[in-house]
Amino acid sequence: MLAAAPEAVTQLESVPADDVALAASGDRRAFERLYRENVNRVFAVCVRMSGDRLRAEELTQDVFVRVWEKLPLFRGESAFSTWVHRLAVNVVLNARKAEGRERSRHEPDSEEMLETRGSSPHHGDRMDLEKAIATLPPGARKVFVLHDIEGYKHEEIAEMLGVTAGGSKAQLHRARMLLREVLST
Amino acid sequence: MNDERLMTCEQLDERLSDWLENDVDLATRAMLERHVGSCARCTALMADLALIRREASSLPELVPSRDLWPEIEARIQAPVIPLEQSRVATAASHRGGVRRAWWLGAAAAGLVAVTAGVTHYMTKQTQPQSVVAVSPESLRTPDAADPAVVTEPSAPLTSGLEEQAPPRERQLVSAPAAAEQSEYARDVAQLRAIVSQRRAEFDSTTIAVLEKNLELIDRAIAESRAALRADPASDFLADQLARAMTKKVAILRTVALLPSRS
Repeated sequence: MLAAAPEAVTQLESVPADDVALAASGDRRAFERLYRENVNRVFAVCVRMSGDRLRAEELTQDVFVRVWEKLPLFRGESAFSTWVHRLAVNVVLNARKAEGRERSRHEPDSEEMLETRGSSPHHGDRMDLEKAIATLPPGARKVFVLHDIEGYKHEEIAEMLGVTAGGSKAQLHRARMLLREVLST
Repeated sequence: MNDERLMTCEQLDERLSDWLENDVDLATRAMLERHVGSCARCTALMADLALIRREASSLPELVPSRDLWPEIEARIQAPVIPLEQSRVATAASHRGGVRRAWWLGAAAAGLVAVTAGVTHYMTKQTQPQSVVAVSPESLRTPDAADPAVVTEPSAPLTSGLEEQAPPRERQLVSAPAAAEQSEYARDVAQLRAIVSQRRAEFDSTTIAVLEKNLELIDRAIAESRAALRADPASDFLADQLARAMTKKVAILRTVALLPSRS
């Protein structure tokens, strides 16, 4: 993350560059506009990576607070929405690391999760795929969301998750096969 | 399965992941395709996986069940001084000094509260009936070198502003927080670099007050970390540490955004 002069902010998307510059200088109204422009995409990645809509709402708040704090460091080297999205992924991953120990005491393993959550989604329905994704074990879910939904490459995912690219591929394959199993139930 | 397929379903399963990732040579790819073309089970498998990938890539955005903005706004309100307000403040030299003193004073107040909270908690662990809060002066004893303490870019501003890079972290308080700690250290270093570049634009009073507040908040962070090492499961201490770190970033951020004297 690097410092950004307001004039360096590029216009690669629909978000007005002025709003990015204004928000970076402390204008909360401009920041609210940026929030409204990006909240649904951020919320979606939070939901899919956490598997929990209520938790995702908390995480979404955390993301935008973090965006606010980091705005002076935004250089405009990528689209603002891309920058926000990457930051959202980091926030979710960091939160999950912090919660990992607690979660591991309470969450069943992957096979149990698939049996107990049992939402019986059916193939071909988008909402059912959403539900099926939520049944995935955390490791496989993260990789699936980052790769197949968000479009990150295995090398990028490996860096984000602290695993190897091969490990990321293995988790992705596992996720797809589990989804197929759940969706064909 | 017959001999002409040259590949069994089990062999396809083994290579499937690589195939989907385009990580097989041409000959293997040809064998896989030939098998799928003649095997109903594997044809269905490939069709299902293709559908999952296709649908996943076109999932829509999702909408929260409520408007999250009011809570976000409440969280970001406190530490930031809008640029326009600061500009007005610096335009009038007398009142400008007062206004800068006000916000830095507020930051210091928050800082002392954090420090006092942590110190109170730590004190309570060993001396239940003793001190409830402490003055900033009592926090001056440097934290002894400890391998478990995270070293962060917290040198005095007079020298720290010239820092090119933060000292490397030695050992993190807890493994799960490693990435966040590292990110925090990076942010602080970058904000310091911005402030450093703008140092000549600020008057000496602002610099002095900033140095004072950073010194205090660094002490609060060090104490929080020390307390967390003693009681790693404490949500209270983790929260205090997070607040102190956030406060430090907020102070640096605010200074980075201040208009120049002129």
